[in-house]
Amino acid sequence: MDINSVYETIENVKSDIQSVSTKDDLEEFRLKYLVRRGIIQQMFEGIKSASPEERPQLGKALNELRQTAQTLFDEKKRELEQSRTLTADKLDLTIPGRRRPIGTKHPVTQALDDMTTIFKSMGFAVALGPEIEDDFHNFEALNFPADHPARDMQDTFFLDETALLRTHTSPVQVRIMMNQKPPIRHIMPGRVYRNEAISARSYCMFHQLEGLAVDENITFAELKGTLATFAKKFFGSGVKYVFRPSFFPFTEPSAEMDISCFLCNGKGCRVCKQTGWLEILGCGMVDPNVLKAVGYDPEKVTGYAFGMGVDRTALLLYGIDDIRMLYENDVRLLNQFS
Amino acid sequence: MNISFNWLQDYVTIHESPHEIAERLTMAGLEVEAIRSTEEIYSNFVVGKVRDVRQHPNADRLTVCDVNDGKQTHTVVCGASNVAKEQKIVFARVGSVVPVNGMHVKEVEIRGQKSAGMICSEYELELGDDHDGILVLSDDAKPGMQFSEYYWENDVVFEIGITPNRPDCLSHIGVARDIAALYKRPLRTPKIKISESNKPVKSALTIDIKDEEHCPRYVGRVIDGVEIGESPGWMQRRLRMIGLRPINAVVDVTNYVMMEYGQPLHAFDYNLIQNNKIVVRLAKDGEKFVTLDEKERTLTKRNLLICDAKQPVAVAGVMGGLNSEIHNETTSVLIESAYFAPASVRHTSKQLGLVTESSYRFERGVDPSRTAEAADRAVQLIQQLTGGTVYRGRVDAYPKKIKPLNIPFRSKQVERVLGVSIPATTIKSILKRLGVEVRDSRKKGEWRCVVPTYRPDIEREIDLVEEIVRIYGYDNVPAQETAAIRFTADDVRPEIHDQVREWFVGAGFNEIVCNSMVPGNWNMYTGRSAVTVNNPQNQDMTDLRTSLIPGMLHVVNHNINRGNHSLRLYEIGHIFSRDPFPGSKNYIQNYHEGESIAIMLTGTRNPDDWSLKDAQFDFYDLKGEVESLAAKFNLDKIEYNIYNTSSNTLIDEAVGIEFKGVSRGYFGKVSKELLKSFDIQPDIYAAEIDIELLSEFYRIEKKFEDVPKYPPVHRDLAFILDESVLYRDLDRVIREYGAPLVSGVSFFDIYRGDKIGSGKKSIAVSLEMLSKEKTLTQPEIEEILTRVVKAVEKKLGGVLRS
Repeated sequence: MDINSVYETIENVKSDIQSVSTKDDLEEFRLKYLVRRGIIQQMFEGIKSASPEERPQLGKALNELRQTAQTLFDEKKRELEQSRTLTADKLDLTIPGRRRPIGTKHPVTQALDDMTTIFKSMGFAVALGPEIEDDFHNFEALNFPADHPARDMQDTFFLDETALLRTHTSPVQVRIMMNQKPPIRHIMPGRVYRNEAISARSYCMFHQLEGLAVDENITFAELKGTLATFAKKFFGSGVKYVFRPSFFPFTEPSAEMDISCFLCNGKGCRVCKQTGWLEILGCGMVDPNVLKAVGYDPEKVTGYAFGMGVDRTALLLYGIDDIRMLYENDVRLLNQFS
Repeated sequence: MNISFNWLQDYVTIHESPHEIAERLTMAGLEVEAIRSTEEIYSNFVVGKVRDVRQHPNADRLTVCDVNDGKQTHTVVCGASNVAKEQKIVFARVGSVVPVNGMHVKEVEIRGQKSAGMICSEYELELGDDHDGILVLSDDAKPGMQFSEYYWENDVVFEIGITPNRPDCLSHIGVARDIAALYKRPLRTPKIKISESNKPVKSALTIDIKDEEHCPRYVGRVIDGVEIGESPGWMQRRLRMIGLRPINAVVDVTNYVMMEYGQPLHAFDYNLIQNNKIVVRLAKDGEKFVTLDEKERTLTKRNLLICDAKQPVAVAGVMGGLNSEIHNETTSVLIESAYFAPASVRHTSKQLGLVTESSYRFERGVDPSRTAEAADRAVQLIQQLTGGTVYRGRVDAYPKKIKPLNIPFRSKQVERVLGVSIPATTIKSILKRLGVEVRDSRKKGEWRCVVPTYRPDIEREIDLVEEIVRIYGYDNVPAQETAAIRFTADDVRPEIHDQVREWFVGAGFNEIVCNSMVPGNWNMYTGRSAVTVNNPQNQDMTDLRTSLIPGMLHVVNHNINRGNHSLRLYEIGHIFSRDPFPGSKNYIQNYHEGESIAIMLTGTRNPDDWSLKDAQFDFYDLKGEVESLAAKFNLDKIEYNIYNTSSNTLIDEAVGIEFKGVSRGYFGKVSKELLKSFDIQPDIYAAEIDIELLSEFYRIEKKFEDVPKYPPVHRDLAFILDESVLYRDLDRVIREYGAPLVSGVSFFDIYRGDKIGSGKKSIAVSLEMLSKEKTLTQPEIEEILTRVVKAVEKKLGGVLRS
C-alpha cells in the first residue's frame, strides 16, 4: 500500500458521498468505509506492512481519510434527516396555515389614535361630548354673536330653532370648562357635521380633534411650542411649520398652522397646490369672552385652543384622494390598514 | 376678494414682486389663496394684423385670413363676419389656452384648409358676452405686442380670503393700508375735486331717517345732466380684472368706488324719486317690493327700506328697486352712501336669501367715517366720465355721530398673552401704523388707544394684542417647547372605546364609519322616534340614525356588489332619538343621544382557514361573539332573553341582552324584509349593544380567588329531551342538583333524528366536577351523576341516553 492509494481513496469517498440520496445509500456508504471491516480500517491495518520511514506520512494521510469520510457521512446524515422532515408523513409544509382573520381600525380612527397618543404623552386627557348641540354651546358661548357673518364660516344642519348638529368639537370645550375649574388640559376627538356639498374634497360629516389648555401663565408661545412638538412627532422631526394670523370667534389672537408638505418635502406638488405647504389646523388663545361665558376670570387665567381635521390629515397621510372612499367602507380599502 | 396689483399701487408704493407682497399679506392674516397674472392667462395672445381675407374654398361662412403676429404671418380660418383686411385683432397663437373655456389652440384643418391659430372674440378673451364677431382693436395697437400688456398692463390679481373680522380689507384702499403698515410706507388716498354748481343740494333733496338704530348715517348727492354711456377703458379693465362686469358709466362708478373704498353705493334715477325725498324706515309686515333682479320680495318689519315720498325704492344695504334703476335715458342721478347697522342688513339678506357685494360689506361693517368721502368720490368720477352738473354740497343725515372707540390698554398684557416681551416703542409704532392713536392714561402702565372706525373688530385690549402680534409677526414669537403642567386629581372615567376597538381588531373585525344622517325609511325598523334634520342636504340624509344596523347593511350591500362576500364588521357610533332609550343621555332638551356598538357577520366564517371548508356564519357564531365580548368586559350579570320584536323589526328571532331587567341590546338574524330593502341575498347576523353597559363594568374590582389544588374530573352525559325544553333549563338543573361539586357545565352536541323519535332532541353536555379539599373518588363521582340524572328526569322529563 502506498500513499497514493490513500489519496485515491479520499477522492473515492468524496465522489461516493455525492451519489448518496437516500438513507439506504448512506448505510451502504457507512458499510463500505466506516465499519470495522470497511476499507479504511483495512488500510490502517496495512500500515504494519509499510516501511518505518513511510509510516508517519501514511498514518497522517489515513487519518485524513478517516476524518473526511466521517465528516461527509455526518453532513449527509443531517441533510437527509432534514429533508426527511419536509416530506415525511405526507405533511406538505408549504400549504398555508389556518390563519385567523386580521382586524382593522378605520383609517380615521387610526389617525385619531396616533394623534391622541401623542397628546396624551404631553399631559392631555381625553373628553367627549354629544353630537346634537344647541346654539349656546356651539356658537353663543364661543363668541359667535347672533346675526354675525362669522356663523357663515360653518354651514349648519339645524334640528329646530336652537338644536343643531355640532359644526365643530369646540362645544366640548364649553362643557368641560362649565364643569371643571382650571387647570384644564384636554383633547376632544369627535364627529362634526357641515352642510357642505359632498365632493372628493369635502363630506357633510368629518372628525375633528380639539385641544384646550387653560391655566395661569398659558401663552401663545406655549401654544406654538405644543403644536410644533406635536407636528414633529406626528409628521416627522424634519417637518417645517408656520403660524399665520387667522380669525376664529373663540380665539384671539387666532392662527392657522401650516406644515411643509410631507409628500414633496415643500417643493410643491398637486396635493399642496404647488405651495409646498399644507394647512393642518386652526388655533389661538381662548377669547376672554369665552372664558367669561363659562365663568372663568380672564384676568386670572389664559388658555389656548386648537382644532384639526382628522379625515383630511388621514387622506394626506395615506394618499387617498377622495374623502368619500373613507365612508364607503370597502373592506379591500379597510384591509390595507391592518 | 379680488385685488388688482396695479390698482393697489394708486395708494401705496410697491417695490416688491406680487409674490413677495402675497407672502407678506398671508403672513399678516390676509391669506392670498391664489395669484393670477394676465401674462400667464393670456400667454401667447398677441396683437395681430389681418393682412389678407379670402373666401374659404369649401365653406360659405368661413374665411381664410393671413394674420401677422409681429414676427411671422399665419394662415387662419375665421368664422366671424366682421373680419376685414388691415384690422388689428387679438391673435391666439398655436399653444395658447382660451381663457373662457380652457380650449387648447392647435394647428388644425378646417374643411381642407390648414389653420394655425385663432382670431379672438370678446367672449373668448373673457371681456364680454359678444361672440358673434371678433374683437377689433384700435389702430394704434402694435402687432406682436402681448395682449396682456396691451390691454391689461400686465396686471396680477390676488384672491384674498378675507376673514369676517376684517371688513376694512374688502377694498383696494383697505388692503393698501395694511401693506403701508407692514412696510412702513405712506398711504395715498384719492384727492377729490368736484366742480359744483351754485344750486345747493338741500334744495333738491331731503333725507328723513325714521330709524336711527338701523341707519345711523345716510349721505345723498345729486348730479344733473348726466349722459349714460359706457365707462372708459381703464375703468372697465379694472372692474373686469377683479371679476366685475361693466354695465354703464354710473353703475360702474358706484362699483368702482365700492372696490376702492369698501363703501357700497347706490345710484338712483333722481327723476324717479318722488318729491325729491328719501325716507329710511322699517317695512311693514307683508309689504311687497320688486328688486333690481325683477323679483318680488315680501318683507317684514325687521327689514329696512329706502323710500321716496310715496314708495320703497331700495332694500337698505341689500339691493335697489326696479322702479328707480338707472337706465339709458337717465339724466339725473342720486348717489346714496350710507352706514346701515350690520346685524340689520345681515338679517334681511339672510331672510331674502339675497347676498350682494353690498350686503356682504354692510353686514361686516363699513367705515361710518368715510360715508361722505365715498359719495364725493363717486360724484367726482361721474362728473369726470359723463359730464353733468353737481349740486353744491351733500345732504348728510347723521343724527348721532359714531365715535372711535377709546380702549384702555396695558402693554404688559402683550407678554402675558403672547409669552414674548415686545418693547413699548415697537408696540406704539405698530399701533400708529395701523391708524390707532395712542394716548397716555392717568393709570400707571396703561395707555388709551383710539381705534379708527374702519376697524370694528378692534373693541378690546385683547384685540389690540392680536393686532400687535399680527404686524410684529407670528414667526417672531418663539415656540416654547416646555410647559408647566398642574396635575389634577379629578376622577377620570375609563375610556372604553380604545379597549373595545382593540378587542375587535384582535377578533378579526373591520371597523367601519358610516354617516349618521340617513334616509327616513332606514329608521322605520327600530321603533324609535327619529330626529329629523330641518335643512337636509338631500333626501338620503333627512334623519339621524336610531340604530347602526341599517348603515351597516348599506355597507354590506356595497361590499357584496364588489365581490367582498365574507364580512366581519363593527362600528362604534352615536345614535339618536326624540325619546329616551337605554343608555341614552339628554344633553339637549327633546333630544336623546346614546352610543352603540354594532357587529355584523356574513359569508364564510373564515376564508383563510381551509379546514373550515367554506363554512358559513350562523347564529351561534354571532352569539359567541356577543358572549366573548361580554366575558371580556366582565358582563357576567347580563341575561339573554327572547327579544320583543314587535316594535324593533330589524332582527327576526332576536335575542335580547338584558341587565337588571332593562334591554341594552339585541342580536340575531337580520330580518328578510330589511335585507330585501337593501337588496341583500345572503343571511346577515347582527348585534347592537349599548356601549354604556360595557363601561359600567369595565373596571370592576377584581379579587384573587385561589386556584384549585386538585384536578377536576370530566364526565359526559347525553339526555333525550322534549323539543320544548331549552338548553338553558338543562344547564340550570344540572348546576342546581350537582352543587357544590359540579363546577362547570358545557354544551358539546345536539342531535335530532330517527334514533330518538320525533319531537325529541338529544343534548350532550360535559360536566366538570371539583372539590377544594381532595381528589374525588369514583363512588363520589357516581353519586353526583346519579343525583343529576334523577333531577333531569324528574324536573325536565329527560332520559339518559345510553
